[in-house]
Amino acid sequence: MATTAEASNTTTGNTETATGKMIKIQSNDGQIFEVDQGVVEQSSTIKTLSDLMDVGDVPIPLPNVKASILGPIVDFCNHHKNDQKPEPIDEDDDDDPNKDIYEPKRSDDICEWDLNFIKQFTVPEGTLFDIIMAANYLGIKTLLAVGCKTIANMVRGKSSTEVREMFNISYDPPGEGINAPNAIEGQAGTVPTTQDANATGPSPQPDPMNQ
Amino acid sequence: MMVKIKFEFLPNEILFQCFQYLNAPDLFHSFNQLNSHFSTLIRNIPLYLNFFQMKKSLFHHFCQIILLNSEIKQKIIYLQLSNDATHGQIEHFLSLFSLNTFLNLRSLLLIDLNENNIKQVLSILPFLSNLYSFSFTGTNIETLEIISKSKLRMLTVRYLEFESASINQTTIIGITSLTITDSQLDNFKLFKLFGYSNIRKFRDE
Repeated sequence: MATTAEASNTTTGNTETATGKMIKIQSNDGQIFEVDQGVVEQSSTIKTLSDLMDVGDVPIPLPNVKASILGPIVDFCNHHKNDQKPEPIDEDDDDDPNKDIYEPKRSDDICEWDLNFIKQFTVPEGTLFDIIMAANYLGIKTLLAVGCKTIANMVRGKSSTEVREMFNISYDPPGEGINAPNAIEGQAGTVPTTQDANATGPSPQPDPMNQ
Repeated sequence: MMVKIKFEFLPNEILFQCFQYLNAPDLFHSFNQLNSHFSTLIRNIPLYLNFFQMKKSLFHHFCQIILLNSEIKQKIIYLQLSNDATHGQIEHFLSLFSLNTFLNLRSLLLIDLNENNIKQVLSILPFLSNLYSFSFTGTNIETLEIISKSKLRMLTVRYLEFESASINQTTIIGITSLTITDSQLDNFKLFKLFGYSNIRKFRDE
Protein backbone atom coordinates (compact mmCIF):
# COMPACT_ATOMS: atom_id res chain seq x y z
CA MET A 1 0.00 0.00 0.00
CA ALA A 2 1.26 3.40 -0.95
CA THR A 3 2.27 5.79 1.76
CA THR A 4 2.66 9.51 1.35
CA ALA A 5 5.80 11.34 2.39
CA GLU A 6 5.40 15.02 2.94
CA ALA A 7 8.07 16.68 0.86
CA SER A 8 6.18 19.95 1.20
CA ASN A 9 3.82 21.54 3.66
CA THR A 10 0.84 20.49 1.62
CA THR A 11 -0.64 17.02 2.02
CA THR A 12 -3.29 17.16 -0.67
CA GLY A 13 -2.35 16.43 -4.27
CA ASN A 14 -2.41 18.81 -7.23
CA THR A 15 -2.59 21.90 -5.03
CA GLU A 16 -1.41 25.34 -5.98
CA THR A 17 1.32 26.93 -3.89
CA ALA A 18 3.48 30.00 -4.19
CA THR A 19 5.82 27.94 -6.37
CA GLY A 20 3.03 26.55 -8.56
CA LYS A 21 1.24 23.27 -8.97
CA MET A 22 2.21 20.38 -6.73
CA ILE A 23 3.05 17.06 -8.38
CA LYS A 24 3.05 13.62 -6.81
CA ILE A 25 5.80 11.15 -7.62
CA GLN A 26 5.91 7.52 -6.52
CA SER A 27 8.95 5.38 -5.78
CA ASN A 28 9.14 1.77 -6.90
CA ASP A 29 8.30 0.63 -3.38
CA GLY A 30 5.12 2.63 -3.27
CA GLN A 31 6.04 5.75 -1.34
CA ILE A 32 4.54 8.97 -2.65
CA PHE A 33 6.28 12.34 -2.49
CA GLU A 34 4.71 15.69 -3.24
CA VAL A 35 6.99 18.14 -4.99
CA ASP A 36 6.56 21.62 -6.33
CA GLN A 37 7.53 23.08 -9.68
CA GLY A 38 10.92 24.15 -8.33
CA VAL A 39 11.77 20.48 -7.86
CA VAL A 40 10.08 19.32 -11.08
CA GLU A 41 12.11 21.81 -13.13
CA GLN A 42 15.37 20.17 -12.02
CA SER A 43 14.39 16.73 -13.29
CA SER A 44 13.99 16.46 -17.04
CA THR A 45 12.33 13.06 -16.60
CA ILE A 46 9.69 14.21 -14.11
CA LYS A 47 9.11 17.40 -16.07
CA THR A 48 8.57 15.53 -19.32
CA LEU A 49 6.26 13.00 -17.68
CA SER A 50 4.22 15.66 -15.91
CA ASP A 51 3.89 17.67 -19.14
CA LEU A 52 2.90 14.65 -21.19
CA MET A 53 0.64 12.89 -18.77
CA ASP A 54 -1.39 15.76 -17.33
CA VAL A 55 -1.33 13.64 -14.20
CA GLY A 56 -3.78 15.52 -12.04
CA ASP A 57 -3.79 13.86 -8.65
CA VAL A 58 -2.31 10.59 -9.89
CA PRO A 59 1.28 10.03 -8.76
CA ILE A 60 3.91 9.73 -11.48
CA PRO A 61 5.46 6.27 -11.14
CA LEU A 62 9.25 6.20 -11.00
CA PRO A 63 9.95 2.47 -11.29
CA ASN A 64 13.73 2.80 -11.16
CA VAL A 65 14.00 4.64 -7.85
CA LYS A 66 13.33 3.36 -4.35
CA ALA A 67 12.00 5.58 -1.58
CA SER A 68 15.25 5.56 0.42
CA ILE A 69 16.91 7.24 -2.57
CA LEU A 70 14.00 9.32 -3.87
CA GLY A 71 13.52 11.00 -0.49
CA PRO A 72 17.05 12.45 -0.35
CA ILE A 73 16.77 13.42 -4.02
CA VAL A 74 13.67 15.46 -3.23
CA ASP A 75 15.64 17.08 -0.37
CA PHE A 76 18.49 17.86 -2.76
CA CYS A 77 16.19 19.45 -5.31
CA ASN A 78 14.33 21.41 -2.64
CA HIS A 79 17.64 22.79 -1.40
CA HIS A 80 18.74 23.83 -4.88
CA LYS A 81 15.46 25.03 -6.33
CA ASN A 82 16.31 28.69 -5.83
CA ASP A 83 19.84 28.38 -7.24
CA GLN A 84 20.71 30.61 -10.10
CA LYS A 85 20.13 28.63 -13.26
CA PRO A 86 23.20 28.06 -15.42
CA GLU A 87 23.11 29.89 -18.71
CA PRO A 88 21.70 27.69 -21.42
CA ILE A 89 24.42 26.11 -23.50
CA ASP A 90 24.29 27.15 -27.10
CA GLU A 91 24.08 24.24 -29.51
CA ASP A 92 27.07 25.72 -31.28
CA ASP A 93 29.52 25.97 -28.42
CA ASP A 94 32.18 27.19 -30.81
CA ASP A 95 30.39 30.51 -30.86
CA ASP A 96 30.86 31.14 -27.16
CA PRO A 97 34.01 33.25 -26.94
CA ASN A 98 34.03 33.28 -23.17
CA LYS A 99 35.31 29.85 -22.42
CA ASP A 100 37.55 27.10 -23.59
CA ILE A 101 35.05 24.25 -23.78
CA TYR A 102 37.86 21.72 -24.03
CA GLU A 103 39.46 22.56 -20.71
CA PRO A 104 39.50 19.74 -18.15
CA LYS A 105 36.50 19.81 -15.87
CA ARG A 106 37.00 20.59 -12.19
CA SER A 107 35.84 18.28 -9.43
CA ASP A 108 37.02 20.37 -6.47
CA ASP A 109 34.10 22.77 -6.64
CA ILE A 110 31.41 20.78 -4.80
CA CYS A 111 29.71 23.13 -2.32
CA GLU A 112 29.70 22.27 1.37
CA TRP A 113 25.99 21.41 1.50
CA ASP A 114 26.41 18.98 -1.40
CA LEU A 115 29.53 17.46 0.18
CA ASN A 116 27.57 16.75 3.36
CA PHE A 117 24.61 15.50 1.34
CA ILE A 118 26.63 12.98 -0.66
CA LYS A 119 28.39 11.67 2.47
CA GLN A 120 25.25 9.80 3.50
CA PHE A 121 25.72 7.48 0.50
CA THR A 122 28.44 4.86 0.60
CA VAL A 123 30.30 2.46 -1.65
CA PRO A 124 29.98 -0.65 0.59
CA GLU A 125 26.20 -0.27 0.74
CA GLY A 126 26.05 0.60 -2.96
CA THR A 127 23.97 3.68 -2.19
CA LEU A 128 26.48 6.05 -3.79
CA PHE A 129 25.88 4.25 -7.07
CA ASP A 130 22.12 4.15 -6.42
CA ILE A 131 22.00 7.93 -6.13
CA ILE A 132 24.11 8.38 -9.27
CA MET A 133 21.94 5.96 -11.24
CA ALA A 134 18.79 7.66 -9.98
CA ALA A 135 20.12 11.13 -10.85
CA ASN A 136 20.91 9.87 -14.35
CA TYR A 137 17.47 8.26 -14.74
CA LEU A 138 15.68 11.35 -13.45
CA GLY A 139 17.80 13.70 -15.55
CA ILE A 140 19.05 15.79 -12.63
CA LYS A 141 22.33 17.04 -14.05
CA THR A 142 23.51 18.87 -10.95
CA LEU A 143 23.13 15.81 -8.73
CA LEU A 144 24.69 13.55 -11.34
CA ALA A 145 27.69 15.89 -11.48
CA VAL A 146 28.04 15.85 -7.68
CA GLY A 147 28.03 12.03 -7.71
CA CYS A 148 30.52 11.72 -10.57
CA LYS A 149 32.84 14.35 -9.07
CA THR A 150 32.73 12.46 -5.78
CA ILE A 151 33.80 9.26 -7.54
CA ALA A 152 36.59 11.13 -9.36
CA ASN A 153 37.82 12.63 -6.08
CA MET A 154 37.81 9.20 -4.45
CA VAL A 155 39.98 7.55 -7.10
CA ARG A 156 42.36 10.39 -7.96
CA GLY A 157 45.90 9.35 -7.03
CA LYS A 158 44.87 5.79 -6.19
CA SER A 159 46.60 2.86 -7.84
CA SER A 160 44.69 0.16 -9.68
CA THR A 161 45.13 -2.08 -6.65
CA GLU A 162 43.57 0.50 -4.36
CA VAL A 163 40.73 1.18 -6.79
CA ARG A 164 40.09 -2.56 -7.11
CA GLU A 165 39.85 -2.87 -3.34
CA MET A 166 37.76 0.26 -2.91
CA PHE A 167 35.17 -0.76 -5.50
CA ASN A 168 35.59 -4.56 -5.32
CA ILE A 169 36.32 -4.72 -9.04
CA SER A 170 36.62 -8.15 -10.64
CA TYR A 171 39.70 -9.63 -12.28
CA ASP A 172 39.81 -10.89 -15.84
CA PRO A 173 39.84 -14.69 -15.88
CA PRO A 174 43.32 -16.23 -16.18
CA GLY A 175 44.54 -16.10 -19.77
CA GLU A 176 41.75 -13.76 -20.85
CA GLY A 177 41.33 -10.02 -21.24
CA ILE A 178 44.40 -8.14 -20.12
CA ASN A 179 45.84 -11.45 -18.88
CA ALA A 180 45.77 -12.86 -22.40
CA PRO A 181 49.16 -13.57 -23.97
CA ASN A 182 48.34 -11.12 -26.78
CA ALA A 183 47.08 -8.40 -24.45
CA ILE A 184 47.72 -4.82 -25.49
CA GLU A 185 51.39 -4.15 -24.95
CA GLY A 186 50.83 -0.91 -23.11
CA GLN A 187 48.71 -2.68 -20.57
CA ALA A 188 51.79 -4.55 -19.33
CA GLY A 189 51.16 -5.01 -15.68
CA THR A 190 52.20 -2.90 -12.77
CA VAL A 191 50.13 -5.06 -10.50
CA PRO A 192 48.88 -8.62 -10.69
CA THR A 193 45.81 -8.58 -12.91
CA THR A 194 44.49 -11.94 -11.93
CA GLN A 195 43.92 -13.81 -8.71
CA ASP A 196 45.64 -16.85 -10.19
CA ALA A 197 49.38 -16.62 -9.63
CA ASN A 198 49.95 -19.16 -12.42
CA ALA A 199 48.01 -17.23 -15.01
CA THR A 200 49.79 -16.29 -18.19
CA GLY A 201 50.16 -12.65 -19.03
CA PRO A 202 52.46 -9.68 -18.92
CA SER A 203 55.04 -9.55 -16.21
CA PRO A 204 54.54 -7.00 -13.46
CA GLN A 205 56.75 -3.95 -13.88
CA PRO A 206 57.47 -1.15 -11.47
CA ASP A 207 55.01 1.72 -11.70
CA PRO A 208 56.62 5.12 -11.03
CA MET A 209 53.33 6.41 -9.76
CA ASN A 210 53.62 3.92 -6.92
CA GLN A 211 57.14 4.98 -6.00
CA MET B 1 15.54 -8.12 -2.20
CA MET B 2 17.24 -5.16 -3.91
CA VAL B 3 20.38 -5.87 -5.89
CA LYS B 4 23.39 -3.86 -4.73
CA ILE B 5 24.94 -1.88 -7.59
CA LYS B 6 28.71 -2.20 -8.07
CA PHE B 7 30.91 0.48 -9.57
CA GLU B 8 31.98 -1.66 -12.51
CA PHE B 9 28.37 -2.25 -13.51
CA LEU B 10 27.55 1.43 -13.85
CA PRO B 11 26.62 2.23 -17.46
CA ASN B 12 29.48 3.44 -19.62
CA GLU B 13 27.83 6.85 -20.02
CA ILE B 14 28.11 7.39 -16.25
CA LEU B 15 31.66 6.03 -16.06
CA PHE B 16 32.59 8.48 -18.84
CA GLN B 17 31.20 11.31 -16.77
CA CYS B 18 33.30 10.24 -13.78
CA PHE B 19 36.43 9.92 -15.93
CA GLN B 20 36.11 13.37 -17.49
CA TYR B 21 37.22 14.89 -14.18
CA LEU B 22 40.52 12.96 -14.20
CA ASN B 23 43.83 13.87 -15.77
CA ALA B 24 44.85 11.15 -18.24
CA PRO B 25 47.88 9.95 -16.18
CA ASP B 26 45.64 9.63 -13.12
CA LEU B 27 43.02 7.82 -15.15
CA PHE B 28 45.50 5.29 -16.46
CA HIS B 29 47.18 4.92 -13.08
CA SER B 30 43.86 3.98 -11.53
CA PHE B 31 42.10 1.99 -14.25
CA ASN B 32 44.61 0.62 -16.77
CA GLN B 33 45.41 -2.50 -14.78
CA LEU B 34 41.99 -3.54 -13.53
CA ASN B 35 40.45 -5.62 -16.27
CA SER B 36 39.75 -5.54 -20.00
CA HIS B 37 36.49 -3.64 -19.50
CA PHE B 38 38.21 -0.63 -17.94
CA SER B 39 41.32 -0.87 -20.12
CA THR B 40 39.15 -0.66 -23.21
CA LEU B 41 36.95 2.05 -21.77
CA ILE B 42 39.75 4.48 -20.92
CA ARG B 43 41.16 4.11 -24.43
CA ASN B 44 37.90 5.19 -25.98
CA ILE B 45 37.09 8.45 -24.29
CA PRO B 46 38.34 12.00 -24.83
CA LEU B 47 41.46 12.49 -22.71
CA TYR B 48 42.70 15.60 -20.90
CA LEU B 49 46.47 15.52 -20.54
CA ASN B 50 47.96 18.04 -18.15
CA PHE B 51 51.69 17.70 -17.40
CA PHE B 52 51.91 20.98 -15.48
CA GLN B 53 54.48 20.61 -12.67
CA MET B 54 54.29 16.84 -12.98
CA LYS B 55 57.21 14.83 -11.62
CA LYS B 56 59.71 13.82 -14.27
CA SER B 57 59.22 10.10 -13.58
CA LEU B 58 55.45 10.38 -13.99
CA PHE B 59 55.85 12.43 -17.15
CA HIS B 60 58.14 9.78 -18.65
CA HIS B 61 55.88 6.98 -17.51
CA PHE B 62 52.84 8.39 -19.27
CA CYS B 63 54.82 9.27 -22.40
CA GLN B 64 55.83 5.61 -22.46
CA ILE B 65 52.19 4.56 -22.27
CA ILE B 66 51.39 6.82 -25.23
CA LEU B 67 54.32 5.41 -27.19
CA LEU B 68 53.12 1.87 -26.55
CA ASN B 69 49.49 2.74 -27.31
CA SER B 70 49.60 5.13 -30.23
CA GLU B 71 45.79 5.17 -30.45
CA ILE B 72 45.78 7.20 -27.24
CA LYS B 73 47.11 10.18 -29.19
CA GLN B 74 43.86 10.33 -31.14
CA LYS B 75 41.91 10.59 -27.90
CA ILE B 76 43.80 13.51 -26.41
CA ILE B 77 41.74 16.68 -26.81
CA TYR B 78 43.56 18.85 -24.24
CA LEU B 79 47.32 19.07 -23.77
CA GLN B 80 49.20 21.20 -21.30
CA LEU B 81 53.00 21.13 -21.24
CA SER B 82 55.15 23.26 -19.01
CA ASN B 83 58.80 24.07 -18.56
CA ASP B 84 57.94 25.67 -15.23
CA ALA B 85 59.81 23.73 -12.51
CA THR B 86 60.58 20.95 -14.98
CA HIS B 87 63.68 20.30 -17.03
CA GLY B 88 62.79 20.95 -20.64
CA GLN B 89 59.50 19.11 -20.51
CA ILE B 90 58.20 20.74 -23.68
CA GLU B 91 61.35 20.04 -25.65
CA HIS B 92 61.39 16.45 -24.46
CA PHE B 93 57.76 15.92 -25.39
CA LEU B 94 58.32 17.40 -28.84
CA SER B 95 61.33 15.11 -29.31
CA LEU B 96 59.11 12.08 -28.63
CA PHE B 97 55.98 13.13 -30.48
CA SER B 98 55.08 15.27 -33.41
CA LEU B 99 52.15 17.44 -32.42
CA ASN B 100 50.51 17.00 -35.79
CA THR B 101 49.87 13.34 -34.93
CA PHE B 102 47.48 14.48 -32.19
CA LEU B 103 44.74 14.79 -34.75
CA ASN B 104 41.89 15.54 -32.36
CA LEU B 105 43.67 18.06 -30.19
CA ARG B 106 41.27 20.90 -29.39
CA SER B 107 43.14 22.86 -26.75
CA LEU B 108 46.91 23.37 -26.39
CA LEU B 109 48.56 25.21 -23.52
CA LEU B 110 52.34 25.65 -23.40
CA ILE B 111 53.97 27.32 -20.42
CA ASP B 112 57.45 28.89 -20.47
CA LEU B 113 58.03 28.03 -24.06
CA ASN B 114 61.42 28.92 -25.49
CA GLU B 115 61.99 30.51 -28.86
CA ASN B 116 63.10 27.34 -30.66
CA ASN B 117 60.06 25.44 -29.49
CA ILE B 118 57.61 28.16 -30.45
CA LYS B 119 58.87 28.20 -34.02
CA GLN B 120 58.45 24.44 -34.17
CA VAL B 121 54.96 24.60 -32.66
CA LEU B 122 53.75 27.49 -34.77
CA SER B 123 54.81 25.72 -37.94
CA ILE B 124 52.59 22.78 -36.93
CA LEU B 125 49.55 24.82 -35.90
CA PRO B 126 48.04 25.02 -39.40
CA PHE B 127 48.06 21.22 -39.55
CA LEU B 128 46.11 20.82 -36.33
CA SER B 129 42.79 21.21 -38.05
CA ASN B 130 40.72 20.65 -34.91
CA LEU B 131 42.67 22.98 -32.64
CA TYR B 132 40.30 25.50 -31.10
CA SER B 133 42.29 27.12 -28.33
CA PHE B 134 46.00 27.90 -28.05
CA SER B 135 47.79 29.58 -25.18
CA PHE B 136 51.46 30.04 -24.58
CA THR B 137 53.81 31.99 -22.37
CA GLY B 138 57.53 32.53 -22.31
CA THR B 139 58.57 34.05 -25.56
CA ASN B 140 57.91 36.93 -27.88
CA ILE B 141 57.51 36.21 -31.53
CA GLU B 142 55.54 37.40 -34.51
CA THR B 143 52.71 34.94 -34.48
CA LEU B 144 49.93 36.55 -36.40
CA GLU B 145 50.79 35.34 -39.88
CA ILE B 146 51.06 31.72 -38.82
CA ILE B 147 48.02 31.87 -36.59
CA SER B 148 45.98 33.37 -39.38
CA LYS B 149 46.48 30.11 -41.29
CA SER B 150 45.11 27.97 -38.47
CA LYS B 151 41.53 27.40 -37.44
CA LEU B 152 42.03 28.71 -33.93
CA ARG B 153 39.11 30.39 -32.17
CA MET B 154 40.80 31.28 -28.85
CA LEU B 155 44.29 32.65 -28.42
CA THR B 156 46.12 33.65 -25.24
CA VAL B 157 49.62 35.13 -25.61
CA ARG B 158 51.93 37.38 -23.63
CA TYR B 159 52.68 39.57 -26.61
CA LEU B 160 51.18 39.92 -30.02
CA GLU B 161 53.70 41.47 -32.34
CA PHE B 162 52.85 42.20 -35.92
CA GLU B 163 53.28 44.80 -38.57
CA SER B 164 50.10 46.72 -39.29
CA ALA B 165 50.76 46.31 -42.97
CA SER B 166 50.74 42.52 -42.59
CA ILE B 167 47.00 42.58 -41.95
CA ASN B 168 44.86 42.99 -45.01
CA GLN B 169 41.79 41.54 -46.58
CA THR B 170 43.59 38.35 -47.51
CA THR B 171 44.43 37.68 -43.88
CA ILE B 172 41.74 35.41 -42.53
CA ILE B 173 41.63 35.48 -38.77
CA GLY B 174 39.07 33.12 -37.28
CA ILE B 175 39.90 33.99 -33.70
CA THR B 176 36.90 35.11 -31.69
CA SER B 177 38.63 35.44 -28.33
CA LEU B 178 42.03 37.07 -27.88
CA THR B 179 43.86 37.62 -24.59
CA ILE B 180 47.19 39.45 -24.43
CA THR B 181 48.69 39.16 -20.97
CA ASP B 182 51.87 41.23 -20.89
CA SER B 183 51.67 44.05 -23.38
CA GLN B 184 49.36 46.54 -24.99
CA LEU B 185 48.52 47.07 -28.60
CA ASP B 186 48.39 50.63 -29.86
CA ASN B 187 45.04 51.84 -31.12
CA PHE B 188 46.02 51.72 -34.77
CA LYS B 189 47.01 48.07 -34.57
CA LEU B 190 43.87 47.31 -32.60
CA PHE B 191 41.78 49.01 -35.29
CA LYS B 192 43.47 46.95 -37.99
CA LEU B 193 43.08 43.74 -36.01
CA PHE B 194 39.38 44.23 -35.37
CA GLY B 195 38.84 45.35 -38.93
CA TYR B 196 39.96 42.02 -40.34
CA SER B 197 38.85 39.55 -37.71
CA ASN B 198 35.78 38.29 -35.91
CA ILE B 199 37.07 38.97 -32.43
CA ARG B 200 34.14 39.21 -30.01
CA LYS B 201 36.11 39.13 -26.81
CA PHE B 202 39.37 40.98 -26.28
CA ARG B 203 41.39 41.28 -23.08
CA ASP B 204 44.55 43.36 -22.83
CA GLU B 205 45.78 42.68 -19.28
